[in-house]
Amino acid sequence: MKILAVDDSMVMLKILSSCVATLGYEPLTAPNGKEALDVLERKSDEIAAVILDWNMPVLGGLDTLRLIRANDRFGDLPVLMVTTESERKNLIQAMRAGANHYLTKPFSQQDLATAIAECIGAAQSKIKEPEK
Amino acid sequence: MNADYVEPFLQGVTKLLSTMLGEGLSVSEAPPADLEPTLTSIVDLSGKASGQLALSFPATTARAVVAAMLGADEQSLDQETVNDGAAEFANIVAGFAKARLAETPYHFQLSPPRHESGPWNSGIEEASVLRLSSAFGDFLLQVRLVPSGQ
Repeated sequence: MKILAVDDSMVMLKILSSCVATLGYEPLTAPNGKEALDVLERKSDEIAAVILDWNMPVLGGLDTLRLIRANDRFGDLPVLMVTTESERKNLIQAMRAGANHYLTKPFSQQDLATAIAECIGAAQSKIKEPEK
Repeated sequence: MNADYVEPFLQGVTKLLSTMLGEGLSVSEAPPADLEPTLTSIVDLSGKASGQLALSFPATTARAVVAAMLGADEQSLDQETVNDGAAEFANIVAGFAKARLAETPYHFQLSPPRHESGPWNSGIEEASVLRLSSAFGDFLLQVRLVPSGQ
């Protein structure tokens, strides 16, 4: 399976991709939300999760998250926000928009790996929960 | 130096170096003017307060920092990657400071980071300037932030 990392920094995409690969997933990358949605339209069946930056040109992370959640085909994908925006109001906005997890920069490789694993794990547990 | 708003930026640099690169930082006593930066990462700050953050690196320091961020060999990096990494460094520092200055007159919004190559002669007028020492070499932190209406 693949994980889609979305960030306008080429260096941050390399950092995210490297961590994704160490977790056993194949990294896909996009430099903004619009291109990320294009990738999801074509490959959502192969994607296990999305890692989204907040501040990006063309289409930012929060708007991208809302568009992902509104999509019938890939609206349930786990989404991890990885961003410099570390104010409480940003965290609340992201959670209300449907983020599964929120990690602020700067982070360690271990922080990132844990956040990705928890994001995917939490989403999978949610799917497996028996209906009440 | 205006500690009211400079300290959160300094904390941001310290946090980035310790968290992402496993290194420490100290404020150098050597004069800032002795350093010859060739790459400056700039984040324009606007909103309740406005100004600029600039981090100015000598070429060897910028390359060493970005190589450490990527866990890569310094010689394998092209200049575009070094520029992008240095800009992301400034972006992370500005974001860290922004959260810590929330609920103060110095709160600001971030603009996308950019970089300027070559000797950075323009500087920031009336900026607080700190020379910082790290395992990757020395570099300059320059910041100016003015609450609106002043």
